Amino acid sequence: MDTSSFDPTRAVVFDLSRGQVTLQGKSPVLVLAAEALAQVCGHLDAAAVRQFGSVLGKQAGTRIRERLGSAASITLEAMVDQLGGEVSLAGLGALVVERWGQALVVRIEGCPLGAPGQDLMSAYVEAALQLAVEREVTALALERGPESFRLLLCGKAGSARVKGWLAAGGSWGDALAALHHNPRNDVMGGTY
Amino acid sequence: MAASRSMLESLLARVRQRASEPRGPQPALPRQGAPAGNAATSPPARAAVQAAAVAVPEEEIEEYDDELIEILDDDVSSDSSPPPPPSHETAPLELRASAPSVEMRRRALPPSSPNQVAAPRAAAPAPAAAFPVAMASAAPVTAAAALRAEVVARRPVPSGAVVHAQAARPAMRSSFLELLDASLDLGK
Repeated sequence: MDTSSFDPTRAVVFDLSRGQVTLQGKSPVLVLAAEALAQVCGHLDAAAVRQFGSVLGKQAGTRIRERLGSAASITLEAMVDQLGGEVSLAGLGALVVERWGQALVVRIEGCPLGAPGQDLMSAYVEAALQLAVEREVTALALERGPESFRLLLCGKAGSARVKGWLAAGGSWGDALAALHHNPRNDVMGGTY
Repeated sequence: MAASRSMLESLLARVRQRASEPRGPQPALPRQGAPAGNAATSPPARAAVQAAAVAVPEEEIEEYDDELIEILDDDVSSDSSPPPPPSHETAPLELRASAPSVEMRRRALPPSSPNQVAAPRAAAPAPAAAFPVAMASAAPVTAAAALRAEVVARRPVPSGAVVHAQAARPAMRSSFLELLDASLDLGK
């Protein structure tokens, strides 16, 4: 049976005598109510929420890099284990990576932060991958459902095209298909 | 053997002489199984009757028991009666059955015993998750418990953290970086 490469043993350490909680005994963290944080994020603009998520993602990416070492031989499963493990430990939801052709799509279920959670997690994933595998990634919000949302991992060019197709009323599935079929066919008006 | 025979003969003569001497009244000894109160109202039990039948010769021989034992001890090769088992042999017969468990308990109890150090050492190395069942069957109970404590900590991540694909999933020959680069190149 395949097992996760993410080892959560002693990932969260409670030091009750000092009144501190740390991740792996290093990074101090807070244990607080998700609803309280959701209310705070709801009162912030998108840029501030993204900045908050970026800080969290950088810390997660640093830990992933420390655990995995060289990024050249990391498998997709291993990255899902590691990144998903970090997201789960933070209580931000369950992370899944979907492959739509060549496109990698991150799906996060059960994020307790509501609507701001999508912006926060977009910045989180971008920062984590930038630190873990040294890639400039755009985690573009593709779709948002009642329990989950999807983020497309793409470059700046692909992100601009998909944004245009979505703004034109296209579905995210069609946008992904068009991205594969003929990326040069994104004329003004979103026909593809 | 000759000396023993002469001693027996002299002893027998003394017994006969003693038996021929007149005797005074002797106090009645209480006998097992025949209480005095029950003797008038109920018939004596069979064991009580047998005890009464052999009581008189025993009383006569009791006085010479020590001498007989001395004579028999001198005659080692005598075949008439088997030598009584030495008193020290009865104790090991009782201890023999329980000796192993007593010894095991004695070794397990002291905290400084090397046995107690060895058991956690066998359970301590973090095994791969595929091995806990095999190790648990071969390890002592305490090690299996520790191993269980170690198996709970390493269970697979929740089923949400897996890779999903729409159709038949191709073999994962590419690394994550190759897949990510391909995704980043889309739309260029």
